[in-house]
Amino acid sequence: MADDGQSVIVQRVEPSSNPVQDEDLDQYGDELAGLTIVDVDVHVDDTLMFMLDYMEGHFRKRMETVLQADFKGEPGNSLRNMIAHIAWLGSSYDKPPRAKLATKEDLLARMQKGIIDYSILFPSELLPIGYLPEPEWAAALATAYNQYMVDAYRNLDGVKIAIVVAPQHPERAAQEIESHAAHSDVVSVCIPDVGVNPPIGDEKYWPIFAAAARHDLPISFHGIEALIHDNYPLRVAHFHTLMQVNSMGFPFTSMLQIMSVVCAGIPVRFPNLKFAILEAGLTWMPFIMYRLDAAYLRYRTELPALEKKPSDYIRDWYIGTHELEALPRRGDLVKLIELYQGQDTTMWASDWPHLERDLIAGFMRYEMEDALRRKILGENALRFFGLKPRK
Amino acid sequence: MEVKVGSVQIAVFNVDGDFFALFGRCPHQSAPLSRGRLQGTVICNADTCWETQWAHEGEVLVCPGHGMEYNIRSGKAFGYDLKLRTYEVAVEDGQVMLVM
Ligand code: FES
Repeated sequence: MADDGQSVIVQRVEPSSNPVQDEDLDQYGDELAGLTIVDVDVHVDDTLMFMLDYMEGHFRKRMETVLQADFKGEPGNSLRNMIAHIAWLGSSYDKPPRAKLATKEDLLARMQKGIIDYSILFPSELLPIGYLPEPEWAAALATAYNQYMVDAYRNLDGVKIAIVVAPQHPERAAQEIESHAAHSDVVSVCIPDVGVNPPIGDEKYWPIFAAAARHDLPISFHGIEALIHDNYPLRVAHFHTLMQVNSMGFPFTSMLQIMSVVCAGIPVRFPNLKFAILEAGLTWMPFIMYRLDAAYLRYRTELPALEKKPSDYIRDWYIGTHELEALPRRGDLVKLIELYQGQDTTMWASDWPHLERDLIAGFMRYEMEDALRRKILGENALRFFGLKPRK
Repeated sequence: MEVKVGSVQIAVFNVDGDFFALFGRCPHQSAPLSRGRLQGTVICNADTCWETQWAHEGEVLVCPGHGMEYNIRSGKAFGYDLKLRTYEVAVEDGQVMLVM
């Protein structure tokens, strides 16, 4: 290379820090002492390579092929990277540093601080499962993921698992629920909600809800950046930046799926089934509740199974705080929760260790009564997931 | 028709000689229910095996405001956790009387 004083030598750059250890849990000390804290959205390294040993036949062969391919991006050949980050690869310039994948040891180290009573593990790698056009392949991935998670994360103090189902294969999804429901560490059924078409209230998915209701396992919808699917709610073509996709994708999808479930009368058909929405923030909740109520006046006869107005069902849904919107004033969060009547349904969630994770301090800065804070930090989640207090 | 008892408006209906009386203002935005029409509505529940059916012909009071529907016998709003107050109606010597 010519030494012209202008050339830049490109070197491989190591990640600049380890975000897995970004929160000094010890700093909270007395502030959190005695409080039950349930982190309802935690992710561990579940990249495809872990699923290999749980796949058989031609799907195992196919997984071997996937793992040999070089998809770039993060370690572990990531389905998420293929789907979510290619278009804007590198656009955040390692600022903040890309989240590392948390190993089991990272998770246990975080739990050993004794601050967090429960971590509920949700999938990372399979969050885009709704995009996959082949139902059998999607179902095989879900089966492998669930078996891996149950084998690798069973019997750990305070660690609980949400199994994942592939909604495009409702029968296999119901079988997954049947096979894992009795496991004491399995506390929820995760339906990754982005890319699911038709929307999740459609009658074809009802075997999933029937199975979950039969086993009293709550359903958790978990979002992902809504990308690269050519229908509602959002198309990649609509946005120039990943920030726009990220901001709109999660809540738009959540609103779509809530609307779909409620308008399909699923809460009437499965009255004991509990639902949660994760990773979509909170501020849109009043909008969808009361917007639907207004329209319901005119269109109720399209939804003759409903016994109450839509908001009366939606206010029963649990909701994770992550990614908490940047509400500017310390009293704003309480006002918002009052608007959607979420005192008994809002659950603190970090999304640890992902890029957008929320730290406990971010929640603690909002003013509220102690009783409400206790509900949000832990009590509501204990009820939703059917967990016993550990403190 | 609408009658006023003290400050309370009450909607009174005569359906082929059967009288029904309900609170006369819709809780939504206070439209006068006495001006609503009576028809049927669609229902869908375990009793219909989750099939949508037309039912309650002539017993569903439709609010003239925005169409909320009330069972004229019970005052119960279809599709809402809401019930209008109903009043007993007595007919004596050709006189229609509300039992308050
Ligand atoms: S006033 Fe009765 S429906 Fe609006």
